[in-house]
Amino acid sequence: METKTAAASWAERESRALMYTYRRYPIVAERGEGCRLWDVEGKVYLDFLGGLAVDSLGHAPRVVVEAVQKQAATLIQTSNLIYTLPQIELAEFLVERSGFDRVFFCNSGAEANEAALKLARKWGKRSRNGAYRLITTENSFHGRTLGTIAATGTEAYRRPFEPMPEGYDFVPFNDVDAIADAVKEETVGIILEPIQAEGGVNMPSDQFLPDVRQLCDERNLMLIFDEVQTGVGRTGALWAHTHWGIEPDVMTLAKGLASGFPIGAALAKEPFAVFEPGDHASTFGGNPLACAVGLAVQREIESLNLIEHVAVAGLYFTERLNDLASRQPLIREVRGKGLLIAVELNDEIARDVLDDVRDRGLIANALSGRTLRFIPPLIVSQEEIDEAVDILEASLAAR
Amino acid sequence: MSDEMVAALKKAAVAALAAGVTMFFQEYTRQQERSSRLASARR
Repeated sequence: METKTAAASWAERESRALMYTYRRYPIVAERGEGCRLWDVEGKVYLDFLGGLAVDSLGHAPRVVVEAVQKQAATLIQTSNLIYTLPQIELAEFLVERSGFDRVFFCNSGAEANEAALKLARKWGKRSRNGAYRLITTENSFHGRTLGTIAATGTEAYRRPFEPMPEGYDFVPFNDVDAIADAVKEETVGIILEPIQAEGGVNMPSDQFLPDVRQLCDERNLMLIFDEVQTGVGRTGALWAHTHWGIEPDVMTLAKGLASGFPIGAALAKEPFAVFEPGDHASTFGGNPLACAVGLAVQREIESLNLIEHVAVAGLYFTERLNDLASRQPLIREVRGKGLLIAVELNDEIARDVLDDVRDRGLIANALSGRTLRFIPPLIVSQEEIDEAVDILEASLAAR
Repeated sequence: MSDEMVAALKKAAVAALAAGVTMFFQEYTRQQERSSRLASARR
């Protein structure tokens, strides 16, 4: 009689109890440490998925464990009807290190973007004679709530849930003329990711973001940058937009902010921070536990000079991949910034390659049939980068 | 500049990057171990 593995048994139990929303990898994770993940059968993986660009300090980082333990033993949740210290301290920390004046805390990237969409509507009513339409880009990704899929430039995410909330105009990424042509009297602003992360790690041209900023200034439009994935050091700068020397009016954050503890934030410059009591709220948003962890993570990132490490490690990883690409014709292009890196293949084999490298002990993800993405913890070492590239090389060579 | 010189410069640049990544990680590991020892001592 065939004996089920521990993983198969857990997968079967899940299939009976949970809604079928995820095509999961055949891994049942048990524990993690740094860039390594162990499954219930004891197999160890090199994790270059990092909780989908979330685990900035890796798995089970001491600073997070200690912050959770300390704050959980002190105060977890009060609601936002009461002042709490970690929320104020984290807001001050973020404001001091960015060009923004005010913060709204929530629990995820989608919620952060939802807050930004509402800020745009409110600002439009107050300052732009009721303008409400937002220009967004094709292949963008802003979340899975009804509001944020309406702003997401991937039709497959929207179609099953149509009709969509109205008020979004889609233009190609990297095309400022298309944006200018799409601006109408009712247009209140533009929402985009500085680097399209989920859509393929699509890089902006050098001039695209500065040109969009200039257009917004000329036409009195609110510029929202979704830095849910690119923010907080992922690209080798604290905020990705600083690579291009410009600032948006509103910025959203989530993923790496608390290195795995759920949190989201929308930051706005004073003229755009138009929420008043009753406009927007979150029961759990900004709770003491999430904010204490976020603050501990951000202080750790700063004290380690981790962002400089990301810039150097990202260049090293990219160079190793480019070197592999020079010898391996299956690789078409390597692109990205910092530790947000995509490898574009010459054929529709990304998902097969993903399965194969996983069998060899490396976890990554595929953004399409041709595109692999690597988003390891920001603390990744040279040996771990070498190991990942060696696994990819062996996998492609075996095809 | 000859191809050999470009290749040598590139190799040196990649080695410097690798050294930078290694230096960070060694210091990070040292700090983690120190923090772990302090935590054990507290307990």
